[in-house]
Amino acid sequence: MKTGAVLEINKGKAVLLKTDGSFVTVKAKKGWERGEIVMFQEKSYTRIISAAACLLALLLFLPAAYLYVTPETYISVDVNPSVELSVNHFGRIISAKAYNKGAEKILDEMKLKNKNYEAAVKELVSNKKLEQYIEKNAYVLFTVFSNNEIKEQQVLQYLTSTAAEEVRVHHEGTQVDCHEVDKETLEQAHHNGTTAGKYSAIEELQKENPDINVKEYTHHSVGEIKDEIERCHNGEHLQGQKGEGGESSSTGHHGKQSHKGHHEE
Amino acid sequence: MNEPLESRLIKAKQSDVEAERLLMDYLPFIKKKISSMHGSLIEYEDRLTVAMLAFLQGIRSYEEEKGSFIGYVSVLIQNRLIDEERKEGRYREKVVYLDTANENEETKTRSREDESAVDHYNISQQKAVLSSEIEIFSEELEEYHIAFSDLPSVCPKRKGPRELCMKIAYEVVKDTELYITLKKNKRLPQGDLIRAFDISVKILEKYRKYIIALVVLLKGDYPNIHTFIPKCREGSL
Repeated sequence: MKTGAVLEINKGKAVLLKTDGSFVTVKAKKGWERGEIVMFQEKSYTRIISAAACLLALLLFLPAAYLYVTPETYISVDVNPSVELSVNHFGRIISAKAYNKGAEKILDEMKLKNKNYEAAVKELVSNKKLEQYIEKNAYVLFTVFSNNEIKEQQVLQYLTSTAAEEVRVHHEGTQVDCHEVDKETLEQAHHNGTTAGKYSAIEELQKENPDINVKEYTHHSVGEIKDEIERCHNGEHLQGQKGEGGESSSTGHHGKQSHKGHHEE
Repeated sequence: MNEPLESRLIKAKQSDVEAERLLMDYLPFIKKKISSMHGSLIEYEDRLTVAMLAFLQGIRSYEEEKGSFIGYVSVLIQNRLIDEERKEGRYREKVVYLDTANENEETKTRSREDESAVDHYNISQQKAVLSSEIEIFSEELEEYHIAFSDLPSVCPKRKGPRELCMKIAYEVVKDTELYITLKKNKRLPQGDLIRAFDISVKILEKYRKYIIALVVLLKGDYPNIHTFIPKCREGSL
């Protein structure tokens, strides 16, 4: 409430002099007379404008906030350990998920959240623990899925050239595959508790040997699965001979392999 | 302040200028009185104006048999502020009691009734005095073809521009030449003011009527209306 002196009342409107030295027109109340000190409520346009500005800011902010927290692209890095990076519209990591214990140990000592996906992938493949697995398995598989096709191609381009090159330079003789996956593969992979990369390798194995147990192969390293594909192709297969232990696999180095539809070195 | 209060009061009763001088000299006392009172439903600036008006009313209504002037005007200010707080409290649909002393209820009720009658008289008196000042102010403004209804739309809404207008008006009041030019031409001496305040013609033209109204107000004998002007309340005029 404000206090003012009534200067004039005309046609239901009163001109008041406020205590800040300003003049204001308000609706005159019954009984008001010239010279009277009255209390009145001022229409606060500032408040209305502030509220509107807040609402506008919220409306502008909400879609941006939604885009920030919603995964748009999924990058999987499989050596065994298997890691999946969820990337938002702005190319930032919103989560890094470990699909086995080895991956858990690696991610425990890393902070990838909010980092640019390029920096995150580079940091991941340079991790000392992961490097030991790479040395042991001599096989790395990168896959990408994105709701945005352009983004998918951009990420794939980065993985094929920069990330794969990084691995090859530091681990001579290591085979690096990169390819995109479709939504169904990603969903099936999640359903089976693995990455899209490993699931796509298992799918490939299934083509060679339809009798294999998908769940069981999720514990194998992608290198082992690739070897098994090779063996099946040549009339042998691994299932039953190996259990878990992809991460501590003694399979050793794998030779260069060729995979249909893959981006290879 | 060396002159005895009694003789200053006699002069103040007859002259608005003297009344305003006395008001300004006692401004620290009024501010202290306000801050000693509890209750904060009304903004400080509004309470100060109400208290200053009560002080001016006190000068007019004081008689020696009412005891010391300070004691008298102190009660008057307190009652006016309580009254305003109650009005505000009623507006907010709640009763506010500011005087929390443990008085006997009966005495309290009786004294409130007495005070209420005195307050009612004082408020009517104050309204009459303020109304007469407003009447004269209105007539003076007419000489410049300004009506009260013109002022709300030309008065700056923000504090900064309002203070600038106040400074310009104050300058015109202080500088005799500028004031004479305004009185003679019924127009602001734009060239001088633009140079002095480094402002554009557009700004000066925009607030022209408000500045003239302030000049008229500051130059005239309007002790009651002056209590609504921040610069007057600061005692810097």
